[in-house]
Amino acid sequence: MTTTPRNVLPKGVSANDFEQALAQIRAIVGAEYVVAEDTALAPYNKIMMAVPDEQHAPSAAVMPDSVEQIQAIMKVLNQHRIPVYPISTGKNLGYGSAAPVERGQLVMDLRRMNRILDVDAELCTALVEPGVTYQQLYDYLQEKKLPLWFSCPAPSVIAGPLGNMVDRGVGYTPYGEHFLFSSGMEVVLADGEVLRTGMGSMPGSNTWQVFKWGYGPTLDGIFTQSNYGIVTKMGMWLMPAPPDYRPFLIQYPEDTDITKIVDALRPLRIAMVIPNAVVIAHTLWEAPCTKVNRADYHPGPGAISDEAVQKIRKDHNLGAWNVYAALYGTPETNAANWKIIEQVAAATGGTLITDSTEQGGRATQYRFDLMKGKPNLGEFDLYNWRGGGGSMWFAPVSQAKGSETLKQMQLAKGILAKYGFDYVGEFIVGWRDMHHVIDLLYDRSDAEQMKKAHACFDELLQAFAREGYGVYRANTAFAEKVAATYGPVKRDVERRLKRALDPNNIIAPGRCGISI
Amino acid sequence: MDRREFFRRTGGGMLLGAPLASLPATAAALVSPAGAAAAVVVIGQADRSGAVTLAQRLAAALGHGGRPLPVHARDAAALRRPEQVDALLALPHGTRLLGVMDDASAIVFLAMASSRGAHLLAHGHHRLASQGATRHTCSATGCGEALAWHEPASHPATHVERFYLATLGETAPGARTSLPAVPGGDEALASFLIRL
Repeated sequence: MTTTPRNVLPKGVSANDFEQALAQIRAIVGAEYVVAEDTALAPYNKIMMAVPDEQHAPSAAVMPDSVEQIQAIMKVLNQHRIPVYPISTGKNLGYGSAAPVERGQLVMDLRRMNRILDVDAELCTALVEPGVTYQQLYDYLQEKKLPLWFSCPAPSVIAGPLGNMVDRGVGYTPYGEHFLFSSGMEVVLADGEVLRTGMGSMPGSNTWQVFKWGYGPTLDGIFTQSNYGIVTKMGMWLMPAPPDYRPFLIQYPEDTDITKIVDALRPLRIAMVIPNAVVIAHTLWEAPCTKVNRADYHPGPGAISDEAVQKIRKDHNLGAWNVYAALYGTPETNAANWKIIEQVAAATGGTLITDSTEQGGRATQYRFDLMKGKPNLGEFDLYNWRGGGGSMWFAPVSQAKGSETLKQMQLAKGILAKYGFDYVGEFIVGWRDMHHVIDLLYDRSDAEQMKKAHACFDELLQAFAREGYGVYRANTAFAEKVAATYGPVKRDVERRLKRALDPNNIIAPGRCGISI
Repeated sequence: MDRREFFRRTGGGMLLGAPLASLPATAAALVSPAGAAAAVVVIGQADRSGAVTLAQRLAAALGHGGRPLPVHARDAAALRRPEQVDALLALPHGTRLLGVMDDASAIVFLAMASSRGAHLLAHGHHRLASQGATRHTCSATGCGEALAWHEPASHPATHVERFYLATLGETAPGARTSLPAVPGGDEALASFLIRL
């Protein structure tokens, strides 16, 4: 326990009040689970956002172990009007990490609540707490020899399903739209009440994890990308391991091929011939994960040239676009659908690759693993591309049409180049939608690049919004600006909900731009 | 605490030892025979020559009695496997662990360490250049803005070593060796000091 004077306090809260509150919280969770010294709080500082640490510095962190402890803490926080920022595993690096949305918020770290509460092998469902990681769930299923898969995002080894779903993250198996495949939440509200959504509200029901909707308004959605409650349990659907899994890569040689790729693959995706999201990664997304050293091609400052990118393609057998998808089914159904894939690849001038040890090598392997829900950290090599390890995801959404692709790419590339950054992007055909995920990679040890990265992200956001492209997620430093792009009426409704559910504005005010 | 105060700071605190027998084999192998008295563990990324060299320089500075600490080399693949990182982190409470690795590995390592409640004492970035100067940026937790400086790649200064020594509350290098400068090869590295 520390009693050193604190230099970061919640907004509007005196040091004395804060110390009193921490003393009360220590009595609830135990002194060892409240941290307030600088070195212990450092992991809760912002990592990737290109803003000063101080902007998102936490005042303290608390690690409850149960719903009852959270309920008791909420009473204390309401009493002292202390804002709290709940995190599950806090490893959402490119979208904000564990740092609170506003300086001084108390981090509620739910990592101790890491129990896999139920796995129903017949119904293929799971019920998990916030601290459960994908790796933990994977190990559990392996250990129990259960032939069940789940969908996970790229940082899956260290991230968890509850936090990812609450942030409306996506993954790479047929269950990749994570919120869609969730079923049932338990939420501690600001006043300490515990809500179970869907069928979970009904005493005696055993359908919480199988029927999401219940009766009346479906409330689950308002607890995602919001600050109306603290989600403490989540049901999720698991996928039966298919008898036959056929991942593939199709490489295309030219940037301009992206138009026909999307138009050729969209019908297969909508008809579910391809059941998972189709990832179409540009050369520079593949290059870092193939161990290409940027400095070998572009030793100086500024954005890498098109000529250098073409040389990388040639030297390392990478496509301008690299399409990843898979077939999941029986050998018979996959054999039938495989002919369609071969025809589409041939008709569009793509090179079809099925062996992950061929072109692409490591990048292909980690993708093939992700598409079967095997956690890995292969994509982390992106952080080595620029040096300095800075990364911010910019992810606008569009219709899944070829006509949407090149203009977006050119718009992004121009803005990135203006600030000296590379275009490192991929398009993901979700179903009828398409995410254009751009990793703004920069050197976070270079103050000048930090400023440029922040300004660049800002310009990307505004320029894409002018064209009607909204981002589906963003790091917390841009929460307010992103929310503003969605117009005033939606925000007003969100504020009214906040007033109704959290009148003291204590749960993560500012998250996703929602505050009273 | 400002930067001047930081470099004047002394006193590293006592280490809380734990019986060696209670450690997983991998972690026990890292602790020197001297046990808790030498409980600073140095890890360098084996497939990054710059990381190994910088780790060796730091290990030399942190050594005692003219002997450098051992550098435990792990390649990038090992530094991304949770069970292997967990094994490295299964050291006695209070052990300080100093790592030098690429950015991606450092991010993963620190993420896993923080999940186990490790404290981040300091961290740095090192931009090695084949031509011109190497840029170092080091930051001690709670000491305000980062320290940043350039030094010629061919003439190694000892500022990085001094920085981490100061973070540990020591002022003089424990063992001076004739180790070379970190090889300049347009490489970016991260370093960090955590307390388990």
